[in-house]
Amino acid sequence: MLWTAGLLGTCAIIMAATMSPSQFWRVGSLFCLGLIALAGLHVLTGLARVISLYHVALVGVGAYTAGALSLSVGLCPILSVPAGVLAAAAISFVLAKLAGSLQDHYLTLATLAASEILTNIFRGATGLTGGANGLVGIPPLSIAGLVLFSPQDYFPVCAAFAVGALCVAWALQRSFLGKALRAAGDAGVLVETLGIDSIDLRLAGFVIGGSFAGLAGALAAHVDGFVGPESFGVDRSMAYLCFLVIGGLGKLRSVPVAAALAVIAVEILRGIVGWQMVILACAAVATLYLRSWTMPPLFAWMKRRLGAKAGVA
Amino acid sequence: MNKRQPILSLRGVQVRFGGLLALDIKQIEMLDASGVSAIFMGPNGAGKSTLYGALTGYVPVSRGSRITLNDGKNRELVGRSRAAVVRCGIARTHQSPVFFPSLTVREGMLLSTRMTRTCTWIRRRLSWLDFPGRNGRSGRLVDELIACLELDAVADTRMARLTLPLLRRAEIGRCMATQPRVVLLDEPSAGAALGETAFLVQCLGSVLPGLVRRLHSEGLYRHPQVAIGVITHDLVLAEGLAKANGASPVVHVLNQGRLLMSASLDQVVGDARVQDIYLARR
Repeated sequence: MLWTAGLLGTCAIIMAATMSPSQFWRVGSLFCLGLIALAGLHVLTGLARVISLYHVALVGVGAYTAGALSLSVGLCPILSVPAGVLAAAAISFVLAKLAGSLQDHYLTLATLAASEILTNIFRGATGLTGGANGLVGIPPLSIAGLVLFSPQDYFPVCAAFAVGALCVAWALQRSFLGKALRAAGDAGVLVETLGIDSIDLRLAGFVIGGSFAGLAGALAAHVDGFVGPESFGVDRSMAYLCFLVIGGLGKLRSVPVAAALAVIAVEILRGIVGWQMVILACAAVATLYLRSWTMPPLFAWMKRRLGAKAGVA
Repeated sequence: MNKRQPILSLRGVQVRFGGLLALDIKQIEMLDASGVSAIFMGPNGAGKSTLYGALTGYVPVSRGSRITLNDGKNRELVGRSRAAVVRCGIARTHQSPVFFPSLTVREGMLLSTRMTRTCTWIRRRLSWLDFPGRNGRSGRLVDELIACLELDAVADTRMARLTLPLLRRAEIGRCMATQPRVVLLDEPSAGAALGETAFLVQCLGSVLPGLVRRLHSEGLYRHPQVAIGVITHDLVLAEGLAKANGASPVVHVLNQGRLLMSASLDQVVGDARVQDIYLARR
């Protein structure tokens, strides 16, 4: 907890020193939005250990729903954001229902397929989503006539939602549902020995995770004023998974750490096009290697080596 | 007393794995009792665990199989999901314990208390958002069970750190926390030291049934008594349970998917056919 706060604080100070204020608040907002989306992934992957590869596509569903509704119908953000949340939750619900009793890798494949279907819809349904051009000119967030146009203005809103998302995730983790999801993550369908229907349980996990993603997407649409199909590919979902793993899968602290990594990685890895996923994958594998909960093989190996040397001396 | 009424009756239960008829039971009745009422024995592959699987929805049974829980509502169990069977009041343990490494013993048991509450579907779903408290009725039930199973020292330890005998005890606790009418234990003493077996005899034979009676009178347990079925190869356990509390469980011997005989332990041990099966003379 202290470590995480310190790490994030240091990052914030470095950023504040090197960036212009408006850029700082903008990156801060991106961090908050990423945090909201990752809180959802934490529920689904961190607790229930469902490897979801369509989380960012769900963020897209939220973004496109909010954007399209406010552009075509002229819905104000106070209504379009909940609409985005509902849309993402609904898609999540439908996928969980369709996936039925699929388990493990098969379920992951289903989410991969869902991601591809959704991104193709983003790209193909030109009338609804603007196709490859995306949706341009989405009105900024506004609360009671107050238009939040500049990063300084909308950062507090994003931050409030992010804190809220973290609190909800924390509460959920301690609730029966959170514990049951963890049990399902541990033992899979055998959570039914507790009398809990594992499919219903997973449905709940999917809907909650999807709602978080939808919220992040809907806010992002209004913050950016633009939604394009490039931002919601399956590579982003995989990157999110890597960030969560590096942050410590299953622990709440993984959420802010992953959100920070998401922001930082975009900045650092921007120059090396094509290698981002390779680097991320290596980092995730290294994390698993060093911190596997059964027995960290590397540490054991080092201990053996050191022990052998001490024995000789 | 209705002590010798059957609590579970199986009629014409068949389980097929491909071409293999793994279980072919014409009739078995598990008698009702407070405490251990049935012991299932038989060599490896006799169909003991498959029988449990058929009873609890883990293994699909052939059409025409009938499994009835005679708890006043006479519920048919065939076709119910695993979770629904647990909610009906039948809990089981597994040969290799099912446990949740990232939860503590207490958390796992508190989770188990949740879904078997008698309330509407929607109330049960809403209760998911509750917090597993140590106070309240579920908390008291779990505390009593932890004390009974002598798990106090590890109650707040993650199950990933437990040894096998403790995991088995935790699994029994998890079963009992669902407030079952019937508990089916699958080799509870396998791999256990003699001390552990003695503990199990004491616990299953007299302490646990007594606890259930007391908890029921306090309104913490939904059934007045619990009938326990045990699969075991362990004659020390079987003899201990047969003597404990005068419950005199019926021993059902299975062989090659069929019921060979149902009798008292002494009769079974003395039976020539049983000796032939166990010593592979034939």
